[in-house]
Amino acid sequence: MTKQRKDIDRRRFLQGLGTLVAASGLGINQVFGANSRQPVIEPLKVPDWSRQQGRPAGSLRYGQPSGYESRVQRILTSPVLYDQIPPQPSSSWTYTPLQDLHGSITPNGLFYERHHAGIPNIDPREHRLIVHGLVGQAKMFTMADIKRFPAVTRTHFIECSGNTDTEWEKPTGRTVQETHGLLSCAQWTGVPLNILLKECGIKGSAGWVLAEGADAANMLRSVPIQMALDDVLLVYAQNGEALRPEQGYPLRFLVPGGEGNMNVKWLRRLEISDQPAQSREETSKYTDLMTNGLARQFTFVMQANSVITQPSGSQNLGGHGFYEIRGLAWSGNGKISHVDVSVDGGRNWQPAQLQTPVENKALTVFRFPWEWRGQGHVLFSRATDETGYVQPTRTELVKVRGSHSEYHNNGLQPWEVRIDGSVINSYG
Amino acid sequence: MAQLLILMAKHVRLWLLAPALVLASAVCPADDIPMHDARLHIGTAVTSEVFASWNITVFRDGAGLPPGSGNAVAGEKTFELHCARCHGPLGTRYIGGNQHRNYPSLWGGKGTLNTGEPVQTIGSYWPYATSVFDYIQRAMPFWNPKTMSDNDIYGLTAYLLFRNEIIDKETIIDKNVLHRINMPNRYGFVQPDPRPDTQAVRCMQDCPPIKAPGILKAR
Repeated sequence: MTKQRKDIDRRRFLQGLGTLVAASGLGINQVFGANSRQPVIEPLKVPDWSRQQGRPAGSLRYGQPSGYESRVQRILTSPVLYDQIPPQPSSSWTYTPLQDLHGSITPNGLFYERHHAGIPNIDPREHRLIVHGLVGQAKMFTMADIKRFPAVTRTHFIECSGNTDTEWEKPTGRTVQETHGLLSCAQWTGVPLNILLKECGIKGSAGWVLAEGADAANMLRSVPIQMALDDVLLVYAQNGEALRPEQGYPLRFLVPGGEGNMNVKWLRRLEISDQPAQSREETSKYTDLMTNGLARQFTFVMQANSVITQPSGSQNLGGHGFYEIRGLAWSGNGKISHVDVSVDGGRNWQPAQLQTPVENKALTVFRFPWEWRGQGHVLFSRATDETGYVQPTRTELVKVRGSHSEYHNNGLQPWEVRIDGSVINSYG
Repeated sequence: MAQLLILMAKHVRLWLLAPALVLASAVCPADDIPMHDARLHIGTAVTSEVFASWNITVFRDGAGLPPGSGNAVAGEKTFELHCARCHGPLGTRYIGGNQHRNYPSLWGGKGTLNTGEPVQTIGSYWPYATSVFDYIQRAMPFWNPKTMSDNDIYGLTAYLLFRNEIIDKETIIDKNVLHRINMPNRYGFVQPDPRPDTQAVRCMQDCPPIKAPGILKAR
């Protein structure tokens, strides 16, 4: 073999290795050594786990992730994010680690939380659902009753209306968990509300369904009857098992595409009424204050939104080379139809690939191949949903609504990739 | 037909359409829902006495308010006893000590909604006085909800309305009076939802660069 040929082969080998190293997320230095010019690959040893019996089957009756994944967890809000003084933990929230998840389903133990009086420990044998008001007959249901009804299984996201409210004026969250983590998606099983209401008979004057929870806050939200009968579910299972207490065990009012707050947990009462309750959670809160001092009420739907989860804030790219930009898109108005990605601060865009099947009012994964050559970039994703609505910039939102509307921040999220490979929440 | 009506309702966002739509949509559920016409006879018929202790909604016309009464004089004592430990004596957000957490402001903020620094309180923002009673009855005091009497809650409601300069200290609140109190921000809310309220397009080439909203305001 000629020297030239050997050099070409070695170069190709090194390039291939470099790409592999980059794609694996390792820094170049970890494999190559900080000061070496030649690759130094130690011969493989036979590790301990190949020499001895592992944990036996059944050692965990309810399985857990590997201990090496223990950093993947929900986090509470912090003074960095919330006004220097945090809220009472019983009336607070946790963020889902979107950057560490794969696919569109959020594991039950990582589903985000938002509570107003902590998490009640409800005995399902004692729990009841009361349905009353403008119905032919007021009825009481046990959990056994509810589970007898014909059921459906649907995949839907739930997003807090206040998701991303830290980012209205300037980049604040350090990770996508902090900027967008009040968002999760699960496969839900339960009875369609319209089947249950048919059981009680709805009167013609009915205009609203008032849904109330059994926690110490007895939180109540009012939903127009039209919306309630369309696709609202009373669910008792998430991702195949019973609802978690944090997500409303034993029963939850699920409003696909609706503000997270409408998805009343620990559901105990449905009052069919001709008017909304005007509870605190739909007057004082969950109303959107405009610049002119008026506030929008009953802004039910979470509009189309998207965010890149890899690479995202506080992550580090290793070496130069191939990366797949990945993220999530979702819309409370139906299916995502397109996601576009920009790597130059929004000047130019290309369509990303959507993971099929694209589902209605559910998280959709998008992927975009990218070659990083060591320059600085500002990355964006932009969703379009089946209604034709295109995800706006935060500037466009603020122009219309001002800076104090608090809720429904679905604007484009920037991630700046710096030349050292670090990724930060910045417009560049 | 019902599907068309549902589609229309979605696009024009007329949530308060005629009840006729209710009946139409009730008989035309989504494709994968098992079809059956007969009732299933699941669940137990109940009278209102059975769920009386859960039937706590207070409507803006006063429906749901219990017997009882109170005024701000009595309510001030209740506030000091049950509320000040979290909300502070001034009803403002931050207090010291081991309760150093973030509790919403209860009064003040009058006239601030359309300024650069709005303060949303009962007096400056809430549209209905009945919602105050409703919320306290459900969820307050934070650590011991459902421990106050109806008279206590009327007094407390009166005290909060007094501190928000809406009623006098001696005005007695009961189920005939509360819903007649006009809140300053009664007409401060707009419906229906006017969104979509942006006109973003799928620009693909040579698009304007994207900056933080803060930078635009400075111009």
